[in-house]
Amino acid sequence: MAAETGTPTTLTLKSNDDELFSVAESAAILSVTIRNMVEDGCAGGVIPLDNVDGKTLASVITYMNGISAIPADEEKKKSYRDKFLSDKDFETLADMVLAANYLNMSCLMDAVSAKIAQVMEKKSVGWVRRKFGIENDYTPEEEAAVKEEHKWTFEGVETDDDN
Amino acid sequence: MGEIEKIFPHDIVEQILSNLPVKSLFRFKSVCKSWNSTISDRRFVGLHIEQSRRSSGNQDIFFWGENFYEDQRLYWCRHHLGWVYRSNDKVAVTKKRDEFLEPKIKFNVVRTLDPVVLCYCDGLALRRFPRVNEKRYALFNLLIGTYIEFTCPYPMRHDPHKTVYGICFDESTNDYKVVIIDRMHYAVYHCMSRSWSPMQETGDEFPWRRMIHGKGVSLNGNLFWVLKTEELPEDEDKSGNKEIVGFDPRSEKLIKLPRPKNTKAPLLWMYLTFLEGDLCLCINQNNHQRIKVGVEDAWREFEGELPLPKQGEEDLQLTPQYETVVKVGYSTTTTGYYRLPYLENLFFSEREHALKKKKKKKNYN
Repeated sequence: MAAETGTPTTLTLKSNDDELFSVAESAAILSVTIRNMVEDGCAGGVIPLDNVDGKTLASVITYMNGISAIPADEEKKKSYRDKFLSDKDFETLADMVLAANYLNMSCLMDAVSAKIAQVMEKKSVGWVRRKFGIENDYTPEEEAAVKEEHKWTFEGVETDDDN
Repeated sequence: MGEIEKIFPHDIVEQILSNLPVKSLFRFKSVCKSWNSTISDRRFVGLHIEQSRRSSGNQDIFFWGENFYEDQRLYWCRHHLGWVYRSNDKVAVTKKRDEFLEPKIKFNVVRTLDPVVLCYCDGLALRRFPRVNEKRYALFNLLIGTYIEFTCPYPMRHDPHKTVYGICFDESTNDYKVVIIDRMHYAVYHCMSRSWSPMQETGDEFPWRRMIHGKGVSLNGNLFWVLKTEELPEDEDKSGNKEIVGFDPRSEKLIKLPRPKNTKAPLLWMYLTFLEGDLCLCINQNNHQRIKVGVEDAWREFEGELPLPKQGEEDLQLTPQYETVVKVGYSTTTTGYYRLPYLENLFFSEREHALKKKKKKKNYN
């Protein structure tokens, strides 16, 4: 799929808030969604990505460029992913997991899911509800019963850091 | 709260949750009803063990005490470079992180059960009820301390020197299976669907005339034993009287695995254990001790001092460069602790399997 002239093909991606990004095709096709468009010949001009905002897309493109610059060395790719995700907060990670899902990038999806789990691991139930936008649908009695059943799992929970 | 509500599709939520340890998942059952039912869902439980295997790669270990006289407790540590044995109560220190992790739960002796563990797999352990003719078994989730009980309907009685046990995972049915072999016959129990396959004969190619050495060794859900056969006259290459036998979880058939090269007779002994997430075959041959690591055709060979089998499954570790094998100074016979691959496992962790309920029915002790 690389250009026959030897110069790398560049694609233009458009976020849902109308920001334009140039990215090498060889990096962009890490996204199966984009790869399918390229293979179907729909990638001429601008590729609109309706479910990704500019901030997230910029981040995803940084990842695409970074990871595709690493030769086939799973260890190095893993450490790049770890470093890439290390300073991201929950909101950024949440945007990224949704973007990775939409773009069908399984390696990013797996890494971000694992990172979100790592962030959540010691959090309280209240923190999780707020971050995931989940409404508590238990009655107070039901909730108390579920908590009582798994009492030991409430030891060592971190104090919420988002209030 | 000022949060922008994000709508996570259910499959993304599941994927995130599948990366969490059991303790967090049990806590998050309180988040809402739908998370509660997801976390209890059998399909999710299977997804979680799959993820758990992938992320740990069996690198983590935990210790299980089979000590008759003291409380049985579960200890674990994430294992990278090594650890030292301290005492019965303080087991492990990881050199890399320099941390000792307290047992997640203090797990009291279940006095109604025989303390001997018949076999392990993925953080599960098979034990039995101790009366001589009893064919009742208990499969434990070691992390939670819950178990399921089942009784073998076939005329297979427990004999510590003859009966062979193993646990494996059948991906096609998303279920653990317990295998019980008494030389000429074997029976398979489907743990989630709570049913037995018909008893089968081991077949002529598996002449179980002698015991199979040690416990069945489970790695990533697959099951292996060392089989000691009588030497057969047609054994032209004199490749010895011990073989590695596998068990195919789906077809429930015993399989002969290719023997690692250069393991010709006379073998003084040979047994299986784990080494850094690989199946490890320990061989003593003409007093030349060797270790092979890997599975089937991919055996790699290491030189090193081996533990003697009579000392139990003494622990081994590879140096970080994976070049030599060094012996770690403790053995199960002196401490009662086994080193096992550690996996977070949600199977059989629900409260209906819990011991407390059983205790209410019968007043033991």
